[in-house]
Amino acid sequence: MAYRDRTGLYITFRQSYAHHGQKLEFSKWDQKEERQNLIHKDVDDNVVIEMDMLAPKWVAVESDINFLLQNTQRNIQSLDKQYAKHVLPSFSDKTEQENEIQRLTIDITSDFQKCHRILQTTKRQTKTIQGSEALVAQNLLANLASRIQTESAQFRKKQSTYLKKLRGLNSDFSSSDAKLEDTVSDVAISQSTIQQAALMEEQGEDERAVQHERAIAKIAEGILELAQMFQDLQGLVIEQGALVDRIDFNVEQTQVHAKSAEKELTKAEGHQRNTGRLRFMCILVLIIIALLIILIGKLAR
Amino acid sequence: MNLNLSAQSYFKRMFQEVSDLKVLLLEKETTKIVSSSITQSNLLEQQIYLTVLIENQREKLRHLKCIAFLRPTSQTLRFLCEELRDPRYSEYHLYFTNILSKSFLERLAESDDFEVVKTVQEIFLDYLVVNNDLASLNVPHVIDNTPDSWLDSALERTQQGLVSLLLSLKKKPLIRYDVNSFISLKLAEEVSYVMQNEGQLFNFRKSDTPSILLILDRKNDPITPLLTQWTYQAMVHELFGINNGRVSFHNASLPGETTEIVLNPALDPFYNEARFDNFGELGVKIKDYVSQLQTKSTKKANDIESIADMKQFLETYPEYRRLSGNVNKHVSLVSEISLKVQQENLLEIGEVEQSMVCNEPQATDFSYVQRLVSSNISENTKLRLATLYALRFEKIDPAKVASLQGLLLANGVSPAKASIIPTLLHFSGVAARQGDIFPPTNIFSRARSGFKGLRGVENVYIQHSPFLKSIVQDLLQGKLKESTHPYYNIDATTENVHEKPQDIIIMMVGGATYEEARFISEINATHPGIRIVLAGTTIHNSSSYIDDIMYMASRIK
Repeated sequence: MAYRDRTGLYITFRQSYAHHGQKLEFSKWDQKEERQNLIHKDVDDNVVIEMDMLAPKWVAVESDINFLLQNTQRNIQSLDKQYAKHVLPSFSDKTEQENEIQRLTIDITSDFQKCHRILQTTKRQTKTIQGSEALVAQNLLANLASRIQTESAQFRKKQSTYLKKLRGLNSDFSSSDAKLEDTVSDVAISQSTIQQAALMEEQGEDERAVQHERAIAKIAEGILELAQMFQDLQGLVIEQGALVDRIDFNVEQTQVHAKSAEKELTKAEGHQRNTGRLRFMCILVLIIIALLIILIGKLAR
Repeated sequence: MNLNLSAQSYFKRMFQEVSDLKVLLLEKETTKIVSSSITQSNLLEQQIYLTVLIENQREKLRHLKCIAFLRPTSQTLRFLCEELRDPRYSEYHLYFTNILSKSFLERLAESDDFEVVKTVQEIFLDYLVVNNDLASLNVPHVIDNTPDSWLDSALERTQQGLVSLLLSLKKKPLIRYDVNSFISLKLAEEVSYVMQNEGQLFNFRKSDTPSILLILDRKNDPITPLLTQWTYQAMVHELFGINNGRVSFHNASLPGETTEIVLNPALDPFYNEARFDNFGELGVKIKDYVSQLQTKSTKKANDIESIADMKQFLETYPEYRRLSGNVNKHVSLVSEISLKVQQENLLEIGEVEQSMVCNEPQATDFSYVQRLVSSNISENTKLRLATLYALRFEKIDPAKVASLQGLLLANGVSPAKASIIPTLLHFSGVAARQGDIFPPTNIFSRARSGFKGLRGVENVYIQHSPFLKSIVQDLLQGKLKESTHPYYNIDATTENVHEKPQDIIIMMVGGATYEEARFISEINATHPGIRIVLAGTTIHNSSSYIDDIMYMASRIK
């Protein structure tokens, strides 16, 4: 894996050319320093700011979601510790632990949901964007969606094993096969857990047991919500190993899109011209109708 | 010496230097190179949200930083200079696939008015990664108007590809070549010149035993690309064509539509495992694969009560979906293969081919060929049979060989195609070849092949082993003769060249085949300490090989 860095040599070459050193941002600006304004003005003295230097607003979602995901990762780690402590048999009161677990679970779930909401709003915001920018937005969303998906899947897996232990279900199935099993069965388990909690309440069981069961049901609900979110995100994510995951395929598609976009544009122009004419005719018809009404009114009187 | 790993680490190097939203700037050739080893999701993970071609019209997006992965050609230089004079992106990090000349750098620097270029690097990935140990240079034709002369463009591209292959593997090998092939010698000359000229780049730690670059000419084995293939990867390439990991075929269950799929051993565990299996083993494996999916889905059916749940489960779980998608892909591909095998009567044809190539020449062979050529099979299959017969019986029965062209014409083969027989015999007939691609006919070797018969041939369809096998086996044992494969430009008596080599790079000028690749992988897997990489100017199947010969025929005139 040999490589060679030629940057040094390149810069030496570049320095030997005198005309260099302009900054990209000021490229079109007035070179006479004394007359230079803070905001650039073009020939007709209109204020011009080069918009293409600035990143569009929606780009910021990436750092927002990064922040949220880092937060959840921390929370999941401390949750892991709590789970480990909780399943150990002991005689002491575990209410405090349970409360902590519940708090963390709710935090994590709500963070994931926040991520999901941010993604949805950005998706709506970026709908109107045209051209390459639209592709950038689409790809950015796909990347974020797949990251949220993997994170939340891991979280769900952990939760459902915990839930199984609490419910006294046998969770020791062979770990090699368990990977697929777990993601599949967490939905089923959660559903039955919620049902059970409701059932116990109906039967008027002892207060503490009901509360305990309710707490578990809360976690189960969280899992279900996340499962729903997971499905929503699936639409955004690129299927790995499929044709859509090929770089050359995507480049080809872009070219096809660019061509069809051009066609659309010419068509749209045509439409626009037509709508102008149409609007004029509408106004004429309306005037005629108005005149007719006036005429009829006059005649009736 | 794992091509895939080395490519991955190059890309890691490229992408991780800049953290921010990025655009990847490519050209046609490098798009293929990138696609051969990484995927769109890999790009997204690295915050590369846009991939564009340098030759296309593009918008300005100055909030993006640009990573360019380009070949150092004059055309690229022109595009790049234009780009730098009016930059579309805020920064440029330039990565070139090969050695840059000083003048190239100078012209680039001259155009960089805004000083937007931040890095210029050479990373040596100027070839397509096909398997871990198989590379292709994507050069379809190499020969100009005589068997001894290169097409200029092909020579340049091959030399660049080979040099970058050596650099990416960190090897400065001794070069050996086919003594009867002038184009091999010419390539050896070119590569050796670059190695000397760029001594600094090729300054690698010396290994105990010198590595070997073996340059071979396709003309010495015209048989292998013409035979019907019976192992998965080779079969798919023979019947549908693998085009840089993409395969398109007509799916019988969806009439009128072409299905396009991706076959990448690095991403598809089933394919990685089954690609060297023969057709019979493949059938068993695919059945297991299907039942694996079945057990997974029935287990779920117990957990989930209604059909709606079941449906939801199918849609929701990507892992399961990926598995079922992959099973589906391979099942439809294999069923398409078996359909082709029936249509083309390949079982019978394969048997005739193998007995013709691997056994003693028999008088009955001609009648088999005659009967099959007049049966209802495709033009190329007829042509394959006839060319194989011609190569085998060139000296044994010249009269019948001469009659083949007429036989083909009478059975609906186009004159242009039928006329490749004399061209092929001219380029790689007995007089043009060295070494024995057919079992020799003297008594001793007959005794040896008798032994082989005793040990029992497991499968009549894959008796043939490529000529490359005997060369590589001799090389590994230190027995490859200098009279047939001399060293380029070194005095063999002074250097320690008679040791058994461990790291070998084989360059097949005129195209390698998947059958040869399978054999190389087999050696790599069964001989610890031995590492071989095979590279071809292209990867041939019979139709691309026939096209190549037709191209040669058209150049000769």
